[in-house]
Amino acid sequence: MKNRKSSLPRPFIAALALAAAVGVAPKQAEACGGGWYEAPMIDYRIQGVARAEKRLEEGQYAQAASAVIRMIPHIAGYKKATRDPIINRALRVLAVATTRSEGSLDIGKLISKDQHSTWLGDTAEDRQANLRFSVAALRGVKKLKVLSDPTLESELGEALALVPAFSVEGRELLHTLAEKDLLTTPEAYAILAKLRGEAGDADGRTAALQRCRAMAKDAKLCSANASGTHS
Amino acid sequence: MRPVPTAEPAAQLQQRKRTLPWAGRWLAVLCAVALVAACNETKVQPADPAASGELAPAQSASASLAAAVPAPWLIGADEPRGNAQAGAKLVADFECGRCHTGREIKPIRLESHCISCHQKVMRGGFDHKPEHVRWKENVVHLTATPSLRAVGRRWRYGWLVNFLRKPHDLRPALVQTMPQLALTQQQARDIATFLTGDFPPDPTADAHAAANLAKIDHGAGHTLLNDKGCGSCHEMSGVAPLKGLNAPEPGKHETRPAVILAPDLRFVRDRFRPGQLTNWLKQPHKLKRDTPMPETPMSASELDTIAAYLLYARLEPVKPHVAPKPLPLLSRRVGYAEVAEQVLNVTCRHCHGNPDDAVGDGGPGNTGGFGYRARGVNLTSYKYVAAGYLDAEGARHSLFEKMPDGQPRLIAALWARHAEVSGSPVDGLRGMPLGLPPLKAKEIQLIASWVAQGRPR
Repeated sequence: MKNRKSSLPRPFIAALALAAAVGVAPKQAEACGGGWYEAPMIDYRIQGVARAEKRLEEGQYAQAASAVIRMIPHIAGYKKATRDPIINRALRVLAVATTRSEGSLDIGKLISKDQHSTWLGDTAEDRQANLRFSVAALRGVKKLKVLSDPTLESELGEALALVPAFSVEGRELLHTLAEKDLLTTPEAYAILAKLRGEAGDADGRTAALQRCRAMAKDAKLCSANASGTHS
Repeated sequence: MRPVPTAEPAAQLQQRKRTLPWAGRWLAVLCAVALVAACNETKVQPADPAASGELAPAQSASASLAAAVPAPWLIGADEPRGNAQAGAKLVADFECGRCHTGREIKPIRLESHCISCHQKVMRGGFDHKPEHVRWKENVVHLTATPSLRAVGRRWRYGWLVNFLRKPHDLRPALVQTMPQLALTQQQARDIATFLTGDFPPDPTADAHAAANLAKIDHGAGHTLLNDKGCGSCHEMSGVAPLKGLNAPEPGKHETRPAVILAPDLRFVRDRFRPGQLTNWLKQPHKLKRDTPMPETPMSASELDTIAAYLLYARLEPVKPHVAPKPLPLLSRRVGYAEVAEQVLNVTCRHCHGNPDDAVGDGGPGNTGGFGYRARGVNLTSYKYVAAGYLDAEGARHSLFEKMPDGQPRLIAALWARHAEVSGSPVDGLRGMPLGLPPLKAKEIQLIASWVAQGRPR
């Protein structure tokens, strides 16, 4: 018998079959346990991370960090930045909040105990571990940036300056950015002032404090004994 | 009578068209093949001017009619044609599809199409976002741009080349103007050749049409424009004001597409192909399917009179833009919040956005666009404003570094926009905001004062 080929292309037949199947299906899909409901896929992390970023901008570090940890409990497991931009933004929020809290986040009452991990920074080791996490996270996010980002570099400089092993690198980075007028945060200027003071650069310290005061919402951040942090 | 604007944005339509079932596409391809075959059979080959002893079109236009008619419509008549294939690539590279649609314009993703996004904001498509009310205020001035359909049928090639090189304000009710692109003359020719490919220029025919219209008494032209209601949408600078335009209330923006897109009729003689002008006035939709220009009943003599008036009416010169004098710095404290609220959030952040908020697209002024390379300028928050810009070599500099004249770069760019609109662009400094009217002296004063005070938060 001659094998006759259909004149209609296969996808067309498949489309017809699908249309017919939809046509004969019962109006109420009891087989599925009731009606069909539209369930839009909404990524609630987007709004959540945006809110956490706002908290960070407002200086509410504990709130910003706890929001991220509650939303993405496994975030500490990310050894480096990912391809998911939301995770990277969350990592950045947590890293900056941790840095500006000197590795000791006051989030004991904001998240459940099983999520505390080292975040509370009860010991010096925990605090250093948290700060090293900040450095690693910010380095990872920086690596993924297509364009240079002085804001991120300023934040990385802040974190580096607080880890003894990286403090020289941190000072260099902050100093280079400040020379180009590209240091973007008052916190970074406060840390730079402290580092310059420690290095005996009185004029440099004064200049950094001056910029810090102009940029800060609250001048307390830039007090003469600025340690580069505030709670 | 004003046509009802299409509810569905053009880019969305194009997007939808791309999702036609494959069977529909097959059918469309078959129809297109049949149509092309039929057209090829009936196409009349244009006569070879050299063989017939006539001058080449451009020469003919210039030589035989230069004395007979005023010069404006001859401007650019001798402009050499470019390379359409190169033009097609340039249209994509310079992202004409961000603002325009048209048969020749490749659809751009919806998130990057300015008009579709703005239309969505205005019709409440972002109601789930609490900020959408503020967005409406900030995008209401750009909810329509002309589509680039049937360009060759309507516009003169030479004018188009010049306009691409030196865009100017054509549409009084549209706040935006075509942005100044970094185009060379050859690139402008290539793009114009590509866009006018549907109906290649014929300066000879246009010259004869213009000469015929020059013989017509256009004395009643202004009255006819009024009687036919042209002034409901159009202005014509340089003549007595047309009647009929109901301007929006003070402080409100025009939102009627037909009014927004209506060009100043002063420019008809520069832009329009004289050979197509009466056809356009008679049946605009025949030339351009999606035009908001209505079909107005007119007799043949009325058509000729209006066309002749548009081409030959005496026009008073328009006042050139004069940059205002800089105002003295403010002595009161100026904080970032005020600068952001008055200027940055209203005007700048559309193009200088935060890529983290928009799937990596920071807008043309940040991650690049309109043919401009990424400049990395993010004007969405205090810390990002402090992060500066990338120079041509990719090195970062502060937006506040001093220019040779002592002005901070940001302020110099704002004044450079005034210079551009005045017709004398500043070498090596693109005026900002791109494609928008220059900032008012008071707004520049505010930013300059903030910078001078050490940019306090």
